[in-house]
Amino acid sequence: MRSTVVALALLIAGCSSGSPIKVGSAYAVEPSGPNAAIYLDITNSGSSGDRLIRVMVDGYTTMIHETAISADGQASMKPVDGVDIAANSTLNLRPGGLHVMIMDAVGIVEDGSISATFEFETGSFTERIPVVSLDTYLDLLESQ
Amino acid sequence: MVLLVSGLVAGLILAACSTVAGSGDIDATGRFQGVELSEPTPKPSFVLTDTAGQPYDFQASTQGKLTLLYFGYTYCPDICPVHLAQITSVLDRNPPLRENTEVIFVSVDPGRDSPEVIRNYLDGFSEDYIGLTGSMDELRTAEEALGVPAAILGDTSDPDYLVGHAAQVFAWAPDGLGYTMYPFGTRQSEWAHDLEVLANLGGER
Repeated sequence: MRSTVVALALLIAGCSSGSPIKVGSAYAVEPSGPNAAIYLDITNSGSSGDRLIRVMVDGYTTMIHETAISADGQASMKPVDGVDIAANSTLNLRPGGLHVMIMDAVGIVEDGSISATFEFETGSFTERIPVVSLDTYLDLLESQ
Repeated sequence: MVLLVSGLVAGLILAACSTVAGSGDIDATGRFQGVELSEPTPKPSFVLTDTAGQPYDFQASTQGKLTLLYFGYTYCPDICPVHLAQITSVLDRNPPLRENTEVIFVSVDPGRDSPEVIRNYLDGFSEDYIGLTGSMDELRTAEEALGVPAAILGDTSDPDYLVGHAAQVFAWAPDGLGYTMYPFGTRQSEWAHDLEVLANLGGER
């Protein structure tokens, strides 16, 4: 039942207007440890490329990280300065790849929401995104 | 998307039920959905420190149990919680399976992950899970015993340093042998299937 509600919220979050840059299916996962992660899809329907510079969450330090898993099974994260989104393309920030890490994410609680500001080279906008439980997160992973 | 997610949830429930009923499937090939090892591998031996500060002899303490082991660190928000959450979800739906399964999380980040920090982290999943860590040398011995590369710590002068670590979950059946491993990206349904199959692979030989 909860996944249905979250899925609806994700659909609604995807419907902003104006710029050719749209953020969809954005959600944060309740933290298991000190830090939490935000995942999202960015669609650039414009004819020129853009770049996600940072995602800001009031009261928290955030970083864009990229996880890579090597052939011998070693997972590592590294910070990235920004993420390019080519014209007419969609970039998925997904588990095991790119994500926005919220440091010391105490207070990011399941079933709440947070206000996130997405800063691109061409401009920025703010959206509320849901904070999902680990169980809901697993359901979302299965659907990807 | 709503239908998709609901359908998947229904599918998962069905999948979980069918594995309970069909656990007698022990074909020589294709019986696992995880990554099969080229040959069954004995459980390695190493000693680390548990969250009560006591030495934990891995081989002796897990004898006769379905055993799952994962290297990680509590600061990791991306892939670390996924394995633990998936395993927990499967075990929560199957109390008999949970009863005979030992889930072990080894922190490769002893600088930040004190026994208390590890305990708090694991309690978010289950108070029954075992948290281990040790000195970098002791961790290296455990990593070598499992044949994984040593964890790589970033610049530890930065409080938010990052850690590279083995991303797969290791599993040993109650017979003391490992048949499979589970890379990141393993699906919930695959866990549900394989844990049931592994749990039925005999007592200690």
